[in-house]
Amino acid sequence: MKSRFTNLAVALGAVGLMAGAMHAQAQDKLKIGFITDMSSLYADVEGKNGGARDPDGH
Amino acid sequence: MAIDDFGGKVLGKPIELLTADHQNKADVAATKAREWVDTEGVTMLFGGTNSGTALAMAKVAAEKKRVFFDSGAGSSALTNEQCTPYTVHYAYDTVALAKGTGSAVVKNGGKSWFFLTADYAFGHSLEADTAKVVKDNGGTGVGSVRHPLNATDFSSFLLQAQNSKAQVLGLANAGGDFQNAMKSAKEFGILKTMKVAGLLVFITDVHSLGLRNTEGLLLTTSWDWNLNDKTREFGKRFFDKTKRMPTDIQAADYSATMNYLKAVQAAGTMDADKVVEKLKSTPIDDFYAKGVIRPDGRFAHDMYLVQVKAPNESMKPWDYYKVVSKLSADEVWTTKAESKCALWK
Repeated sequence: MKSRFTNLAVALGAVGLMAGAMHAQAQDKLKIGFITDMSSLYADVEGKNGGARDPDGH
Repeated sequence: MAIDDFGGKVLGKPIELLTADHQNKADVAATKAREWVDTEGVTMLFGGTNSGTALAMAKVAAEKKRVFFDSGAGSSALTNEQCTPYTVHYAYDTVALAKGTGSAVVKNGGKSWFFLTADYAFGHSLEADTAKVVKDNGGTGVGSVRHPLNATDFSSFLLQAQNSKAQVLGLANAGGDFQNAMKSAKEFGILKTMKVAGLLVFITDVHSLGLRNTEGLLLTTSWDWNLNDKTREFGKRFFDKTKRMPTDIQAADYSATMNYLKAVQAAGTMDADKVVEKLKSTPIDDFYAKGVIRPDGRFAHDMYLVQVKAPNESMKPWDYYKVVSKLSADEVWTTKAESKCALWK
């Protein structure tokens, strides 16, 4: 039983560290999220080109 | 393009663009938005073409306090009944489309209307807003029928439209649905007896259908690449990257991103409340439009009533529109008196 608690504590600690790392990472960049129809009836009017990337994805 | 043009950094931090396909499903859009905010630290969301997905994203953005720019969804509810402090509705909405195209068609003699409507938030909103404008201008709505999103067979719906004996077939749909409805209406000979009013038409629709199938069509748009030297310059740059001319949504996406980044820079922070405050207190004047973001989140700018050119009027590829009139920002959007948005009282 003690071992299970220890494992749980280690796991929770790891999750906490990961969350902290992600948060820190997020602060290092400004991230913009673009969510639209990229595969169906509105794909032409906004679609991938709403982000206006080069044909090679840049 | 906007991120590159801004220099790729703001407040000394690199700017990263994440992209996802919402597949026209509100739950997919909301889940992805929530995931990105929680795990990636996304500070601004944009996109949402399809009003159902846009309303879902707006709700997540408000809950998580993130700025949400929508250019592609039409529902006027985004800045009316369902307005939030963080939503900026950028390009057009169903009220502006109705006031532009609806009133112009009635004034040209199209008094009785039958609506063919996409059966979701956008279609319902566009039909209701246009029916009101038709009535206010002395016309009547004689009936309507709703079709599922991304429909393939319009025959039974168009038969009902034909039987209505209305003068105008109002297409309260968009994108592939608009194109398929137009093709079917032509095949069934409906265009010989009814005038079609496309209530949300994009330059890509005209390009796909061809000028022979669309000439004379009146439509309302927030922007066209061929308005002036600045719009032509943006159009050329966009074409060089994508091999297509931009729609007004794509131009709006660029403008919204650029103005968001300017607001972050000016506010000196990514904090959404401070960035929104900066956005709403700074007039916008760029190649896309000139105007202000109102307290309800509506970017109020002029719109254009345009007519699709005849093939012999088109001087070069993608030269499809002639401007009939400019619709003033003061008259084309929901007014303060009409607004149900609690942020604008």
